[in-house]
Amino acid sequence: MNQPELYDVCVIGSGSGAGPVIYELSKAGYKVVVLEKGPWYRTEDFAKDELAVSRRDIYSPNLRDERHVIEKPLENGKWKIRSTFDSGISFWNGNCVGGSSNFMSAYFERLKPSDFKLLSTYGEIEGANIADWPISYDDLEPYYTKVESIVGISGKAVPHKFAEPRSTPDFPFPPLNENIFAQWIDTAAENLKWDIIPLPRGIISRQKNERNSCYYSNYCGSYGCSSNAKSSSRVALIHDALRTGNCTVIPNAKVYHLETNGNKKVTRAWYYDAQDKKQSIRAKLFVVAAQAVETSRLLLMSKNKEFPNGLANNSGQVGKNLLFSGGGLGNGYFYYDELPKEDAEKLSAPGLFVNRSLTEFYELEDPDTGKRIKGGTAHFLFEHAVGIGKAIRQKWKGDRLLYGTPLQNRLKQYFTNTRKVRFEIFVDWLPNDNCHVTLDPKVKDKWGDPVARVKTGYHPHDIKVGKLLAEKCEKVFKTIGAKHISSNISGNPPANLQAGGCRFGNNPKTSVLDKNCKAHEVENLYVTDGSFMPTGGSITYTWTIYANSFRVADKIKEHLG
Amino acid sequence: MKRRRFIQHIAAAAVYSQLPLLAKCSVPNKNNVATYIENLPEHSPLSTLQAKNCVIVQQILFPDNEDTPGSIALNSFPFFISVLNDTWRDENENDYLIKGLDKLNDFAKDQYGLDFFQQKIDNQQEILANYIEDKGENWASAMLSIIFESLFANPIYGCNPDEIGWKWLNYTPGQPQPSEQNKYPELIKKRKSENKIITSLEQILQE
Ligand SMILES: Cc1cc2nc3c(=O)[nH]c(=O)nc-3n(C[C@H](O)[C@H](O)[C@H](O)COP(=O)(O)OP(=O)(O)OC[C@H]3O[C@@H](n4cnc5c(N)ncnc54)[C@H](O)[C@@H]3O)c2cc1C
Ligand code: SF4
Repeated sequence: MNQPELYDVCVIGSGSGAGPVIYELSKAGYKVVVLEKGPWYRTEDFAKDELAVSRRDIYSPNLRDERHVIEKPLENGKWKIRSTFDSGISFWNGNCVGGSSNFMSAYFERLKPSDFKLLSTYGEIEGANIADWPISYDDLEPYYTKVESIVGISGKAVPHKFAEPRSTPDFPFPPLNENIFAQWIDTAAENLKWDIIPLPRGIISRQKNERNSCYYSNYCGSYGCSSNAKSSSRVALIHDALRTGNCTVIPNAKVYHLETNGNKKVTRAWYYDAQDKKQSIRAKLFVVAAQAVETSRLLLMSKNKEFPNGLANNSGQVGKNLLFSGGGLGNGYFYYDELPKEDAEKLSAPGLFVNRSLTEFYELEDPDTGKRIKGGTAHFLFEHAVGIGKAIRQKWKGDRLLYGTPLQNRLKQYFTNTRKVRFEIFVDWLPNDNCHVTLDPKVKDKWGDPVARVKTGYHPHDIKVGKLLAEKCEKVFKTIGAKHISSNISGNPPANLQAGGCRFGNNPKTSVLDKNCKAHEVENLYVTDGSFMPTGGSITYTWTIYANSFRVADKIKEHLG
Repeated sequence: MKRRRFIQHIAAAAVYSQLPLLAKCSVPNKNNVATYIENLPEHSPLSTLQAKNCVIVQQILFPDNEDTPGSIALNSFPFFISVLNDTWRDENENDYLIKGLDKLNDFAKDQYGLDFFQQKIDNQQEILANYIEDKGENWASAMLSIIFESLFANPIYGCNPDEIGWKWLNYTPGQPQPSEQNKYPELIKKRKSENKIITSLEQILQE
């Protein structure tokens, strides 16, 4: 098929940040081309294959070929610098059409109005680069609502202290079915008089066109969905974009350079094709949504005379103020032989969800100063169902390796008599000077290009808030009789929950993007993944990424006229 | 070329797994070892000595007994061979596993003057315990992880025959399970397939 000489829009990446732009612009009649570095996996390609997915990481590049270099803070103030090939801990989250949205667990929450003005609401914190957003919750609200119906979110709106204002009374898809454990959490909430609310999911609970509802496969996070219920950018948006006849997707196209014309305009995206040959695409306007780390890397790699420090980086801001989800997690255990038979049976039922979020402490009192500070949320859920992963955690007793019959007895007991319950805590990862993306001076990928070097410094305040939240969650677990409760709050960056690096703002000296997510320094370059966020809120990011991308799509339509 | 070799190896591993299973036994015996070793593929990543030692190590780490499927019932050894032949995996990790077998053998020879597999069964248990205690804990842990893979992976991979591992632990796997079309490493091939330009949904759905 002949490709047009010049597309209207070239989108780099095809995940949550890219999908809404691809969908909206194709529907509006613009000729859109999508360059996606990974292959196109169809729904039929996905299986709940722990060996392939969790043990061999097949949806991500081989770390031999493409790695990251991660700098982690040590307690002695020094930094540990290691490539992900050496650590074996990948920083990729799924490279294929739809990106990591194919593999997310899809716990979806909106930011609260105060998250848009963290600085003016709670004030400065020393060592943190907190900034208010250049837009307000009201600007994003219509788009949060749009995501609910177009991308698909199930849930139940209930009143609570920090409830975000909604323009519709409730979610378009009713909540998913729940395990008895959700009721126990509700009872704890009543006893403690705390807000623990139904947690929305980017999963549809009834059919939507050719997408079937969730069949409770028991293997959600990290696994592709076989009913198309999970609201990935691929099935929720890109399928429909292709139906318009205006959208072209080129899989296995790894973009490595954006060329400018010396006049502040991007003219071409250069990429390596499936055979590693260099190719290029011309377009009137370019949108980058390669996920935060890779977006910054691509801009930094796109150096030329006009932009000697990288594209849109004469301000020196690209890659700065990278964010992750701060917080940590905790565990508790129930043993079936200690429960009434009926409860044990209900608790052990595979597949059903918990879907509860503790929102009571989105703001809380600093025990040291008595001041109101930003708190966070916590999700209650089950341990993932994966067998190998669970077994691996059972082979150590303290720091001693078990094997032989003692290990087998332990496995038998664990798999047949135990349900491990969890909480995951989300607090702001305060933007700071020690969390950023640069190009590694030495390490290259298989094409000979510098890999991203990610410095993952965190602010001690995040740990303090995380611990306050953990105490509350442990209390919830105690109230319902979970055993062996523990928690672990740390500054470990979750690679799957990234944002920042190209923050938006009104001042071109301190931000990369303007409030419409167009680069201040480039006339036809937009960034629509989570990179734009100056602060991330105390929730998972993806609903906000989807919503903002819909918002920016409207701005791009205005831009293109 | 590499890929072709890999597929050959997978085929060889699949043949292994069709071998009639040996009678369940609680301790390794030399006949089991012999049956496995006789069927080592031409391009085996393990020498005969390493293979003999490996089968015994697996059996001590995860023994078969009456109501517990161990490394023999789970086909853990043929599965281990397929893991070592997997070119997607980091070769350093495989070297580490193989070197561990060699180090264990050196340890056995230092202590008792014989190769590990030639020792009396009680001595094998003791030598492995001492080796783990001394310096082999991480290595044994890595060996166990691969046994766990053979306990939980779909039988399509030549292990966990008749879902024996799942049945033992009352384990409900997610659905759908992998098929010949989408099992590992089929999907990796898609990463480097021919160049495609997708302009309609049918093009993708009809593939
Ligand atoms: C296991 C898991 C669980 C998760 N659970 C949740 C959850 O419960 N709730 C939640 O809100 N979020 C969750 N997430 C996070 C969520 O998936 C991401 O926030 C979201 O998908 C980010 O969107 P994105 O567009 O920035 O990146 P992605 O969706 O990852 O898309 C980026 C795309 O860009 C492509 N790309 C990268 N570099 C290039 C290049 N140079 N050229 C061409 N293409 C390129 C990548 O291959 C990828 O397809 C989870 C993620 C994972 C992996
Ligand atoms: S069926 Fe439901 S639980 Fe399974 S992957 Fe899809 S959305 Fe997740």
